[in-house]
Amino acid sequence: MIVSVTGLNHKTASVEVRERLALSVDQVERALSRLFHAYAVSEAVLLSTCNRVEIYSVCPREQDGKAQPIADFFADFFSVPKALYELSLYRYEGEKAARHLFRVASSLDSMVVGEPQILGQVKEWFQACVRHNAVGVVLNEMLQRALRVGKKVRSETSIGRSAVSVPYAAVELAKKIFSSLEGKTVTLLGTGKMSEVTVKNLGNAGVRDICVISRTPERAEASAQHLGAKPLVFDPEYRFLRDTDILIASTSAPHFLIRKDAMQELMLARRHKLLFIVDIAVPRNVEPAVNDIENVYLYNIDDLEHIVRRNREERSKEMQHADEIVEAAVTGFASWLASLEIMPALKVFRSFLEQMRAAEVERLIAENKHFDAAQREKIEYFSRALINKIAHKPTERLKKLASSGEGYTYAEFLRELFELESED
Amino acid sequence: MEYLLMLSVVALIASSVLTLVFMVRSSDGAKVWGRALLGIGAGMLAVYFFLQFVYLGYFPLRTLKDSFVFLALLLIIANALTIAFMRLDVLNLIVSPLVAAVLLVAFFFANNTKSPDALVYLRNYLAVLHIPIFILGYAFFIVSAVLSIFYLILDREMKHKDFSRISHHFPPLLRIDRYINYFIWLGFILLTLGIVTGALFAWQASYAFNYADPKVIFVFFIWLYYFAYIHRRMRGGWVGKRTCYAALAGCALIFVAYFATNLLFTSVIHGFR
Repeated sequence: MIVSVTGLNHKTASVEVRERLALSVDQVERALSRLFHAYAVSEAVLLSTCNRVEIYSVCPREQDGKAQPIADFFADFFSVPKALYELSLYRYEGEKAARHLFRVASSLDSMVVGEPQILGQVKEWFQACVRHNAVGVVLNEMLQRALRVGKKVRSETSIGRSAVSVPYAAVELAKKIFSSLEGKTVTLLGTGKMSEVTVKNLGNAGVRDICVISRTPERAEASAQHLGAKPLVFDPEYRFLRDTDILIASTSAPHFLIRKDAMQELMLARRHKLLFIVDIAVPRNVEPAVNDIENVYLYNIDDLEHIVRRNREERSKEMQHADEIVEAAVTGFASWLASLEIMPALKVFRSFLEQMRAAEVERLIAENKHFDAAQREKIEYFSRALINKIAHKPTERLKKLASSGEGYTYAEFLRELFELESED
Repeated sequence: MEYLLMLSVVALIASSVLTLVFMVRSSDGAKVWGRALLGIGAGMLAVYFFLQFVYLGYFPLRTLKDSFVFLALLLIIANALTIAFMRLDVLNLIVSPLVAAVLLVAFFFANNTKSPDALVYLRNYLAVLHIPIFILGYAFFIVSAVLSIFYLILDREMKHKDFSRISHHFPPLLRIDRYINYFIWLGFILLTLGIVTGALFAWQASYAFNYADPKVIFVFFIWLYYFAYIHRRMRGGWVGKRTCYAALAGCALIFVAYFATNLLFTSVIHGFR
């Protein structure tokens, strides 16, 4: 039995290739059916996200020669030339396949290391394949272990904790100030790509009330329409900030638009309500001294980039710890897998010993008809105990030797030595 | 029974250390064990207090040490409830060592006893109601002050843009501010109830109110202080650091009043000699 993964991801294939080979959950049944019929697969799990398309499978060690290699599946299923993806494809077997899956589930193989979605996606695809009866003992164990490893990496390392992009860092900081962003008001002073992405992220976090400030009502109206926000006109007393919780400044003004003295006045009017200011404009729109005002937290583009840089460094440090967790899990799985390979041979070996014992006991009892019930029972008991004692040591030893990855070889050796038939 | 107190101190310190490990290393195991040890420490304190109650046959507030132990017990219960309902494990970083310190200090005051006249009152149901209400109120004020420390740390880190590993586990600023306010409100309500039950008890015992009792005077000032805070908060403008400074100053006032009225300006009913 060979457990393997065949697929491509964001590191090996461009988005043009990935999008042509992407599977949807609706296609699972058809894809699995194709795999089982044409590719001599005994178990399969599919995984398709925007960054990867992978097939985890278990195949018998000896194939009948009719089976096609899984690499052909994509060309066959999507009717695309194999040349499109051939060079992007990777295939790992056994321990390496498990390591790959565990790294994927732990988000160590993601485009943004530590992103939280992948674990849910692995689970979703696994469950879809379970529903279609495509998962057997081996892949069930491997996927269950992968989900556990993914959770462990998330809980025991800080790999997914901090933001690694400027807009997301701004959202994380806002969450450090306000208990929830729901019902909070965001004011956009000027618009730009990054401020729009930040507003979008804040919207995803629950912010609903967005205002756009511009120098003229026409410009405010135009920007607000584009963002689905309320248009307001800039006034030098910052009245538009009275009810704002988060201010994002990104105008191209060559001087400070928000100054400390006026801001201090405003904070009195706001009754010192907490205010988070993100100044992503260059040159800056907000006087740095505004940060000294009580209950005002000012972050400029450099501050945010510094946080992002530090978070990235933190993540790479944490990757080492995450890799250790993955390696321990891979060792555990490899040992389980190897012991699985020796199991059928051991079962046949045990059955062979039992048959031999039963035949010998039967012969002995037939030759000694004067044995009473108690004596027969003692002979039964003795013979079983003897066989168990003899078989115990080699069984344990074989399991241990099999865990080194040579399970199949030892199983064959055992069959050869005792002339054992296969389990079938 | 004293070994129960010592074991409780050990459990609480270990609990606090494990909470720190959880904060720094994000270890769920440390979090679970930290909580378990907190429960064990609180349990041992409760058992000690209960055994004292059974042994003496009346509310065990014979010595100043008993008073400290009772304060420690209520403080740790307030801590455990906050962790259980608000998931504020961070509180354990300070409250458990604080309770351990209170317990260790308690040993120095084992000989400061109440006067025999006051001991009689410990069998009165109004006194039995008055004391826990009061001390629980103090415990809530102390918890609000501890939360203020976390607010000030996070506020400083937010202003300096330099975040520690521990502050990641702190709740957001606005939520801490709200919790501080909740605890001050709880403490204030209990303090008011404590004053009412104390007045009723005094009236029942001697048909008079103890206006001249040093503790009564101090408590009146504490009550006025928190009343002023609540008034300011409700009018608006007292958010964030101002709330924290108010909570910390209130806590300092409570400690001063506690030591002053139990050791320096003592009275027959309230003091320990």
